[in-house]
Amino acid sequence: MSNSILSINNLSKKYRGNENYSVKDLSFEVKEGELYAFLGPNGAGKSTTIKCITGALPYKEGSINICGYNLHDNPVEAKKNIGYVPDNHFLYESMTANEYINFMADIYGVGVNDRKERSKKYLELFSLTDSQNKPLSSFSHGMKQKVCVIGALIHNPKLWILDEPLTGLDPMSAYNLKELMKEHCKEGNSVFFSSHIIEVVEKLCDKVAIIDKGHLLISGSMEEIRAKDRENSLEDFFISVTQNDKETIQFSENNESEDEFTE
Amino acid sequence: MNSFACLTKQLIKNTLKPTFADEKEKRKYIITVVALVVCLGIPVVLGVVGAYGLIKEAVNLNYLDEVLSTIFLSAQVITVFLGLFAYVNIMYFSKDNEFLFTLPLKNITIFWAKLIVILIYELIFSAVIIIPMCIVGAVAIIASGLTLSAGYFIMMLLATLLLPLMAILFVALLSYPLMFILKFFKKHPTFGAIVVIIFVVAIYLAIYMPMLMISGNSAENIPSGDSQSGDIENSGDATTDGEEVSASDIYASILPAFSKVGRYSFHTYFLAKSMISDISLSSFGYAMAFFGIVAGFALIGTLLAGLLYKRLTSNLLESGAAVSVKKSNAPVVQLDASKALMKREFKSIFKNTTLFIQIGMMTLLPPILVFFLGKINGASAAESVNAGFIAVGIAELMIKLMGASSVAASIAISREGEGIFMLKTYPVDLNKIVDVKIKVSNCLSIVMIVLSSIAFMLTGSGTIIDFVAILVSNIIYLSAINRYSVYRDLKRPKVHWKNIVEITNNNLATLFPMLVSGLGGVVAMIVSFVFTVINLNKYAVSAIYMVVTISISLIYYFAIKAKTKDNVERLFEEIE
Repeated sequence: MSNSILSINNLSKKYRGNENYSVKDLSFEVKEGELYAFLGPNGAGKSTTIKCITGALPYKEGSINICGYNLHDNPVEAKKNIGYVPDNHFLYESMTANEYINFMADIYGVGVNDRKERSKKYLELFSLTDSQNKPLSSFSHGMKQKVCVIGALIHNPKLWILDEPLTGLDPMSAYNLKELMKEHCKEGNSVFFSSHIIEVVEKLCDKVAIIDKGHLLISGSMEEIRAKDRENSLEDFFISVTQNDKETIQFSENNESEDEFTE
Repeated sequence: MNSFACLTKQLIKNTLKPTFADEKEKRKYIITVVALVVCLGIPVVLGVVGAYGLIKEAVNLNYLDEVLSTIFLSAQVITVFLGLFAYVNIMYFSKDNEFLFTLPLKNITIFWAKLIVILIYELIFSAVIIIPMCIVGAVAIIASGLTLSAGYFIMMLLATLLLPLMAILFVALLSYPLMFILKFFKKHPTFGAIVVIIFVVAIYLAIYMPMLMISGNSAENIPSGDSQSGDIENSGDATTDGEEVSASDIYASILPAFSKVGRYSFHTYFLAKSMISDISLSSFGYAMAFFGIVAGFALIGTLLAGLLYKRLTSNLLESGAAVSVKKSNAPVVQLDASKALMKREFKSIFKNTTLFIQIGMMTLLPPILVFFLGKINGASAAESVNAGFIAVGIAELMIKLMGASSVAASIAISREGEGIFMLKTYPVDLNKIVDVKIKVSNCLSIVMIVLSSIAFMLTGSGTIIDFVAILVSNIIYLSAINRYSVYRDLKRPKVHWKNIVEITNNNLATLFPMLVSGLGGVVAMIVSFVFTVINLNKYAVSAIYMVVTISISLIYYFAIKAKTKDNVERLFEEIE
């Protein structure tokens, strides 16, 4: 049985000053080698969940474990295992791409040889070699996204988290990124990403979780989900489940589906 | 390099290191900074020259410890005053917080890395006071025939570093209640910002009030013209009603006040003692006591940061989700483009907590400073010199310098951030957009000028003519400066920023108006000081001053307006 890389148990998050939960009783697990997609309409709670997992937002209810480290009890060790690509691709604009990559390598304690090798590989893959010494302020949206991806991968994280990663990327870069995600999983790591693009999720992922209004509606492998509704596409399935947010469908380990109502 | 050093280095570079488009811009920047230093250096030099006599008198009357202690304390008060905005912005409101919290770093590491950035930022201001004053102190001590050890200069350098550190740690403590206020009023940020402004003003009043009371008491000690004090030669005489009072008499009369302040400020008193004590063991003991207090402050700061820093910052990261849902039955009214832009402009200020707090502070602090400095001046100089002109000079300097420091105009374009690109797409005459920004800045300047003029009258140092002169001339003067500030910002706005401090740091657009306005303030102050010794008709002076200021301001205003109109399309187009 493969090891758990990310384990979320009953995570609930209510923003201060808000009456409603943004995320409620969320539980799922990402195992070693899995490419896991997190689907949901706008405002479903995807980014909130990802921000809780990465430590950007605090949470009071539930637990998050990354590679066996509880995020509350041991945040530094837990975060060492994460590489995060946010949706707003925060970057210090006065830095060059090279400086940013080295900064991330320093923060994650990556040795000189490893960082040289990895940054060369990724800069070439994303056609950024010629731009690596230019300030990030001169980069386009897509180029900044690529730099964020390289910064997140420079320490070869066990868990690579991406929030809407394909937004703003050209077709070639999007293809490269998807290949990179698959390759990362093949090396025994895991990828967890949020997306709106159902076709990409359908082709790329091993597992998927659908969230709406803070509630997990369904989680399981692609086969399990296809088995649930063989006649329709994932897109139709997505629309049908997000229209009825009361139902939570959780597939068991032995591939037998079962329905369960949370409320 | 460990993660703390790496992060600190990067934050310093990102926040403090200037970036230039080309060599020409770099040269212009250096020239502006030098000019600004020279301009602001004039009051410092005047202060240092004045301090020499005071310190020499303090050496003779055995008040040196207390005087040095008070000077150190003053440097810290100024650091607190200037550091609060930078601290709150860099520590809490910076857009990099969300990113930094995802990195495998302890909260304390992030806190201290940011604290060091703020310290470097504030170090410049405290060094400008501490180093020259200590050197003057050394010269005065040697001139009085006493000896100085090398320890004096070593402690001077350590004081330059540690005193602002303590001040910033004090600001850190001060920031917690501020952030709790903002958290409490999360759904009503404008109201929260108003409460914060009131809180900070109350803190400043609490700092200034004892100084004012002490100064008031010291005024009673100023001897009459025929009294003698020591055998120091007079460095200058002042005349009131034909009686002469020597400068050393004045110094001698205010030194007991220094004694009160200096002795009760234990940490700076220990520092001063460690610098001038002639017994090495006792000097070492005082130095250890000072270091102990600094270490205690650092420890408390670290412990509290460990408990509260991330909690409060995370609270701000969540602020976007906290909204108050308004139920309004007000009918929808169609506004013309200018009014709609004006409404948006005011809202963009009032709804941005940090911006509103800074603008609010810059509106309320000049009147407070005008009042307290005017009162202190009136009290200490009441029996000796013509306090009225000096009070006018102080008011002029405060209004002109702080008026130009307000970010309402100086970052009017930059504070739009990347939203400026949206603004560019509006089907509105670009001159209208610029005019709206200038009008809003003028409204805020007028509030500050009216309050400052009233504060000036409350000092009891001026006449109604002075009041009108200050009010009218400064409204026109700052209107011209605001127009210039917006134009400068439009020429090269900084729209890609992570925290608002990045816009103002190393930015020619904010430095130039400060330089121009500050220069006007310094000239006004010097002129008013000169009038204290030249016996001229007060009303004639006010009239001449008003005519000259208003004429120059109006010429400047219309020249910049024409220049903006000619270039506005091109300048907007060049924003990228």
